[in-house]
Amino acid sequence: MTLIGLSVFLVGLILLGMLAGAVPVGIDDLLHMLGRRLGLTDDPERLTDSVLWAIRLPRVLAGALVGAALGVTGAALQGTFRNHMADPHLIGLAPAAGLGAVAGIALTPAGGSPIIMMLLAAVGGAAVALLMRRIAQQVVETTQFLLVGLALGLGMLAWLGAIVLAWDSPRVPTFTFWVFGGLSGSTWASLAAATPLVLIALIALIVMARPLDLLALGDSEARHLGVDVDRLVRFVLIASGVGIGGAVGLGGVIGFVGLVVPLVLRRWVGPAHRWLLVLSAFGGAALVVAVDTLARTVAAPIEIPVGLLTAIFGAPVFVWFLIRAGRSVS
Amino acid sequence: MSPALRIEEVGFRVGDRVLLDRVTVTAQVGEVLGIVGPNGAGKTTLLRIAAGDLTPSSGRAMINEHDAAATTLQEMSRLRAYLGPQGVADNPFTVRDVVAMGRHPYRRTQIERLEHDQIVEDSMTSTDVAHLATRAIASLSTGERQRVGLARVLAQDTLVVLLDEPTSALDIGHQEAVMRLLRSTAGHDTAVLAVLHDLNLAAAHADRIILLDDGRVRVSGSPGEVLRGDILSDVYRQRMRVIPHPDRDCPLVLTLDGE
Repeated sequence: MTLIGLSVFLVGLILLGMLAGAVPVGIDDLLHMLGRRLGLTDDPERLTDSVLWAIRLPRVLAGALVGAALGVTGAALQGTFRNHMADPHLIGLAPAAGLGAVAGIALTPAGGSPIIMMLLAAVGGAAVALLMRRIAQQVVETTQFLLVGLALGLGMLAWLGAIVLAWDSPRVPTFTFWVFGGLSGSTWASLAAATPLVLIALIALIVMARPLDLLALGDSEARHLGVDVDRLVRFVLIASGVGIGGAVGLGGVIGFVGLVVPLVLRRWVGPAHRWLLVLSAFGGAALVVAVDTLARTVAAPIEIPVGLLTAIFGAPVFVWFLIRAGRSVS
Repeated sequence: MSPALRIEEVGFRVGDRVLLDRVTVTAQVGEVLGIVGPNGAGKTTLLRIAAGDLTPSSGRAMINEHDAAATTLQEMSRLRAYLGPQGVADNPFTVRDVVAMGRHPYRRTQIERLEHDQIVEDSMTSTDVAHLATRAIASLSTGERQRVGLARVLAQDTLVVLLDEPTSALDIGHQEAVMRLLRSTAGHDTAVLAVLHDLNLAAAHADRIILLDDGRVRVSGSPGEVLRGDILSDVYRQRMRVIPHPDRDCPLVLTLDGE
């Protein structure tokens, strides 16, 4: 029931997102495009048809996909590291995926495939996820762990910026894309390349929901209950890296979604990962679609980068949670 | 009948340090075995070898004919349960959630949902945490957490139960209650092996006691055989006297002035 309701809500947001933008589009235009695509009508093509089909639809779908990937990996990383502040952006996965993506662009000939770009983004994300596991085993203090991740991420972001600025090629998305994300470049081709990566990550992580719960008891307790902890963690981190690879390849580096969505939802559905992971995927998708719609309309015709808005909304929520958490501990 | 747990001539070395030296322990179903000894005697190491966490340098630990160090984690999870001294680590789940995690080893079996739930409720009732079922772990006292940990271990429903100082954070009433609970757990086809610091608790509730000293079994046997003033004074470097318990049929250990 809940899932049906959430799906309807998400589809509603997606349709709403398609109506917003520089070219005015009405509901009848939307229905016209859908009718033509589904072969339900022989009406002559309208100008809005191609806008909706080639630009708007891939863009909102990309927003949903990126949001789902960020939400679900955020929830999974927080469970794996037993740290509710662990987030694909904060602990360096997303910047690493960005570096991987740029390497992918460099390695493929002009007009090369987004598939290689995203695969390398996935490799970058997974590599840093595994590295952060090593770091978590070295430092006990969770604050220290987060600071290491943050420094790592900022360092990689700086390298990313340096490379993008020095290269200065029209083939590489702008620096803004790598720091604050952006969905304006979404095409059916990039969507097709990212979808398998994100779907693999979604399924892989949701399947591991129960063992992830047991991890909360501690590594050796989980082992005593039959969970191969090292294998589980490796699996979850690689899956998270793959999901983030797809998300970053498609929408750039967007912060706070993977942090705030699970944080808010955990209060609603509790800590058990089965629901938390599924709802974080929905919540992340809805948030990014909604924020991207806002980003396109609020200052039209100027477009605000998605990540800028998620940071503007997300940062205060995060700070509020941090202060609350600080109070309940002391 | 073969023993549920058989620790055979187990040695454990870390570098040059010998933590355990040819230790042999057996535990039958129905028995509560107390492991006592001073700090650093090797009690926890022995328990972790029995659990399969550590691979012994020599000898082996067998649970129901399975070599603990060579059996899969999944199989082991249905053979033995383990509780560390801190009970349950800080986590966001409720008491009932945590106790239900003890059923994880049986998730892909024929056992009905209702039976799982019943075992979870029974485990909480017998450890006196049923009234805390919906509370978050973070809101519990140390002693309450220890009892929740015990409930989780009981829900795991295994042949061998390994407990590292299960009563260290409990008040006297709950200490006695937990020891009685271990006795009745042993009665349900289980062998219980508990590291205990309180010699009188071991004296009153263990069938047999193993006194470890510096990695070796100094003496093992019934409480009366193990708890003797001369041996204890030597092992603990503390003058002690053992007298018959005025009320119970067991020895009573008293500390005296001087080393």
